[in-house]
Amino acid sequence: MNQAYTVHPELVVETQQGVVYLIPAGLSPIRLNRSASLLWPFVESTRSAADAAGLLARKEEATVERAGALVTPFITELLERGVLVADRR
Amino acid sequence: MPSIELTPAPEPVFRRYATPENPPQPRLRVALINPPDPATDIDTRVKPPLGLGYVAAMARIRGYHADIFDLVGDLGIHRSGLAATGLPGDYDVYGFGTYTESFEETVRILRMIRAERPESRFLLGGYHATIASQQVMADHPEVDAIVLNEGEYACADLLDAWASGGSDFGPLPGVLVRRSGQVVIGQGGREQLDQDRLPYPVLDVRYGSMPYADHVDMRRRRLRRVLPVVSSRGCPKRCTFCAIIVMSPKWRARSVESLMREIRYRYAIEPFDHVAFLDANFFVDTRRTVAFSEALFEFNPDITWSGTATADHIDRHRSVLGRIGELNCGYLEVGIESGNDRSLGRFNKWTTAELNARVLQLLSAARIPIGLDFIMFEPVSTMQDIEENFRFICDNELVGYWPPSLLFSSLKLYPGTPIRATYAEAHPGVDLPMHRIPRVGYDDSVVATFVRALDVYWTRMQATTNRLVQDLQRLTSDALAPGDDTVCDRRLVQQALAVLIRLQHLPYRIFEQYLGGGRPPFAGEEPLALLSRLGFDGHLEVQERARQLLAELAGQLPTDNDRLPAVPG
Repeated sequence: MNQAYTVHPELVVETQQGVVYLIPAGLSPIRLNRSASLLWPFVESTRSAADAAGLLARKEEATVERAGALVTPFITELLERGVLVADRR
Repeated sequence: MPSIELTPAPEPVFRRYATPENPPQPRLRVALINPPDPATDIDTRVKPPLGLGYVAAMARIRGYHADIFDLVGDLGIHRSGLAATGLPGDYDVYGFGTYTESFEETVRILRMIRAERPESRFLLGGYHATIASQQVMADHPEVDAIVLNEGEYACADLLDAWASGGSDFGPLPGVLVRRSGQVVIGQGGREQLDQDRLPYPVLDVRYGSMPYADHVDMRRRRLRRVLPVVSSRGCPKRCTFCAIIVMSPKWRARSVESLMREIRYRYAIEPFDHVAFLDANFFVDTRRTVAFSEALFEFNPDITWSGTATADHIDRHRSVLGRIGELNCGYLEVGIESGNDRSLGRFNKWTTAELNARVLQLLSAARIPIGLDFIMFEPVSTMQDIEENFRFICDNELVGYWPPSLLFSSLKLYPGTPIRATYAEAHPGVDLPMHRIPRVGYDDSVVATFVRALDVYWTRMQATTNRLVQDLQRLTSDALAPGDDTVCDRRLVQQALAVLIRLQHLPYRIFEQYLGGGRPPFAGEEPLALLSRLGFDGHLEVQERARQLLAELAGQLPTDNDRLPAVPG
C-alpha cells in the first residue's frame, strides 16, 4: 500500500510503512499518529473537502489504535466509498 | 521661569553585562578559532561557538581585541582559503577551541598560521585539549599553552601574563604553558564561575563559513530567528559515553533573572523569535524551567524556546510538561539514546526502553516536538540490540523521522570517557589513538556486515536523498508560504510532498527489509549485494521521480535569492 491516492477534490493520502499521511491542497502533510488530536488540524483545514473531513472526523476514535492496523481498513473504506481515487501519475 | 533639572534615567540593568566591544587601543590582538567539524554536512544545524564567545567577551573586558573565526564548514581549507577568511591577519595570539573529531584538522590549520606568524602565540582550549592536555603538549611543540576546562578567566589571565611582557610569569591556575622546553602546569583549581555575573558572549563572528540555522517551528511550519543562549554548565547525569561530564561534571545553572536580562538585552538590539539553549542539559530544575517559561511568555508570548533534556528528567517533571507546552516550549532535544535496555545499561542512562517510550508519549501529549538523540550501533552491539532499537522506533511512531541520522549513528569513543575505558579493557589489542575518534569495528560479524552496507548506502544513496529532501522542502515551503498567491499547480505541490515523504522513509525501509525480510541476516554479505536484495534499485527510482518533480516545481516557482532555507519535515 505504498502508493499515493487522490481524494476528491484536493486531498492526497500517502501511506508509507504503516504510516498514513494526509496532504491537503495548499497545506503541509499531516501524519496520522495514534494521537487523535493530530486529526483536528486536518479536519479544521479541509472544509472544502467536506466528504473527506466528515469521514476522517468519524474515524477519530479508530486512530487511537495502532496506526499500522488502521491503514488498510481506513484506506479501503475510503476507496469503497469513492472518496479516494488512485493516483494515476 | 525656574529651570527643571532632569534626573538622567538609570541605565537599564540588563546593560550591566552587555557584550563588550573591542577596545580602541588593545593590549593584544586575539583571534579565536572554531575549527572545521568533519561531521558537518548539509543537514547540520550549525550554531554559533558560544564557548569562544564567552572567552572573547572576557578578553575584551580585560582590554584585548578579540575576534571569532568560525571555520566549522571549512574542512580541508587550504592556505589561500584561509587567507580569504582574514586569517592569519595580524593577531598576537591565536586560540583554538578543540574537539577530538577535529583535532587533527585543528593542528593542521594552526601550523599553517604559525608558518606565517611565527612570532605569535598559540593557545588551545575546550574539550580535547583539556582531557588530553599533557599528551597534546608532548605531541605538539607548536602549541604554546592550554587553558583547561571553562576558560573565561584562565584565558584572560594568560593574556594578562603575555601582555605584561615575556614568559617569565608564575604558574596560572588552570593553564599549561611551555617554558624553556618544559611544560609548566598551574596547580590549584579555580573557583567555579558565577555565570550570572559573566558578560554576555560575543555572537558576531569576524568570519563564518556557514549561516547559523534558524529554528524550524514544527507547529506553525515557520522558520524563526534564533537567539542562542547558554543557561547552564555541566550535567548531573553520568552517561558513560559523554565527553561533557568528563570536563565539567557539576551542573550549575544561571538564574531566570540572568537569562531574562540577556534576552531583553538581545531583543532590544535585534528582535528574534526563538531562544535556543545550547546547554548540555537544560531541563534539570523543574521550577527554573517553569519560571523561565512564564517569564519569557510574559515578556513576549510569541517567542518560543528549545533546550536539551534526558528521559528521566522529563519523566520526573511530567507534571509541568503540559504547562510549558502550552506556554512556549518549541521543542526538546531528548537524549533517548537507545531502544534496548542492554545499551541503556552500558550507557548508564538511568532509564529503560519502557521509560523512554513513556517519555515520548508524555511529550506527544503535551504537544512538545522532540529532537531525538539516538545511538543505533555500539562496537559491542548484537543483532538483538539492533532489532529492539528498530522495534522501539516503529512502536513509538518514529518511522519517517527526519533527519534519519538515528539509523546511522554509531557510538563515539571519546578520550576520557568511561565507555572508552571499558572498551579498552575488553579489547586490549585494539589501538585507541588519543587525538582522534577511533574506528574500532564491531564484535558481532553480522552487525559489522550491516554497518558496512549502511556506510555504502549513506555514500551512494543517503547523501543524494538528503539533498533532494532539502531541495524539495525548500521549494514546497515556498509554494505553501502563507499569503503567497503562487502560480504553482496545487496538484504538483501535493505530488512533490508525497515524494518527499517517500524519500524520508527510504532509509527506514532498509532496516525494515533487513530485519524483517525473508532471509535472516548473515555475516560477510557483500554490501552492494545486500543493498540490492533490500530494494536499492527501487530507492533510485524514488530519487529519479523526486528529480522530475523538482524540475517541474522549479519551473513554476519564481526564482529569487530570498527564498527561505530548507525546512525539515
